[in-house]
Amino acid sequence: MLPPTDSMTGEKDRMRATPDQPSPRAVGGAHLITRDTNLRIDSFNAASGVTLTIVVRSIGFDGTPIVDIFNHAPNTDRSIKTDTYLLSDGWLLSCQVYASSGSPRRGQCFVRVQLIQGLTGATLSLATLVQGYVQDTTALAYPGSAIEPSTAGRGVIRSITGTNPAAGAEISETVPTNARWRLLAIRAIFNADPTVATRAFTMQLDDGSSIYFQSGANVTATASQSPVVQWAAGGGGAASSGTVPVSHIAQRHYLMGGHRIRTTTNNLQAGDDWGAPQYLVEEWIED
Amino acid sequence: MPKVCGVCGGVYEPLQAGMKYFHACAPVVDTITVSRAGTLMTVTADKVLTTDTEVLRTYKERPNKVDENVPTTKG
Repeated sequence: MLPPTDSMTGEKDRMRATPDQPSPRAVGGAHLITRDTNLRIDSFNAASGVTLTIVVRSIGFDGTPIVDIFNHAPNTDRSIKTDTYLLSDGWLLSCQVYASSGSPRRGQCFVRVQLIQGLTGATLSLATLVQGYVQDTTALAYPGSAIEPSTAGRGVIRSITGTNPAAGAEISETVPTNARWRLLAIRAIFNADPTVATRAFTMQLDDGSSIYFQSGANVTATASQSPVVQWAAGGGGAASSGTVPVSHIAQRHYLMGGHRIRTTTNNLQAGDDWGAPQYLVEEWIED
Repeated sequence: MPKVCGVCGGVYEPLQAGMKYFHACAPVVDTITVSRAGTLMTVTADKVLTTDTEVLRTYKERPNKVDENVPTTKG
């Protein structure tokens, strides 16, 4: 039998560490938390009434089990909300984030939890523990959860009632800041005034100024008519008697914050009146 | 409770299904290109005749437009 080398002896020494003197090997995979290591959470949220709870389990340098619990109230306008928390010194074993109040759905509340060096001012990001969407029924956990970007997977499905324009004005809906939409369908009722003229409708998508898509509706209106005008992904074709025609938009129209969904109506009269549009989108946080 | 935009007159619900709605005023018509007696011409909205056939509308931002969206932190 070969005599033990220094390194082998050291290995044996570490393996003999007692529970009250945990060694790096005993807590393999853990993150070292020193006096200058702190926890930072960044959230981007669109749902109201959400409170996030962050639970950190660690073991102190003296072997004491530690549980640190923090609460974080995200903003509700998708803007970033950042909180930094002091952690107990030791070895971080696990971290979990869940919605302790509110009912955010996937696509509404995106969080990133990281270890940082420092507390205020210039800090250094040391490690990302969890990153992804939190729901009231689904937590993010380290270790375990994937580090995912905000636009991965499915978003939340929203049915939105837009602005009811004043008479003589067009429909115009703007994608909120820090949101990404996939437009699935939009529907509105147009009320023509008694002026004799044929109104024709086009829905257009723009980036806030430049138009990148237009789709004409396969329905028109003359004096005092009130047609339903709608566009849907994959739609298109004339209506048969007694049904409502559907006009076409592409299956995957992704719109960034500031992009607009608008109508333009040929021969629009001052007394013509669009009703409030109802539209269906899939939404993600776009941080 | 619906809100009425004091600039464009649009009506909207500020909160829908637990999420905020951010109103932004629609642009207004700038010029309209029409076919009048077989001739194309570009006029302002108040100069369009009911006998004209519209060809194209251009829009401009509404003066003093309201945009309730939070400012983006990216360029």
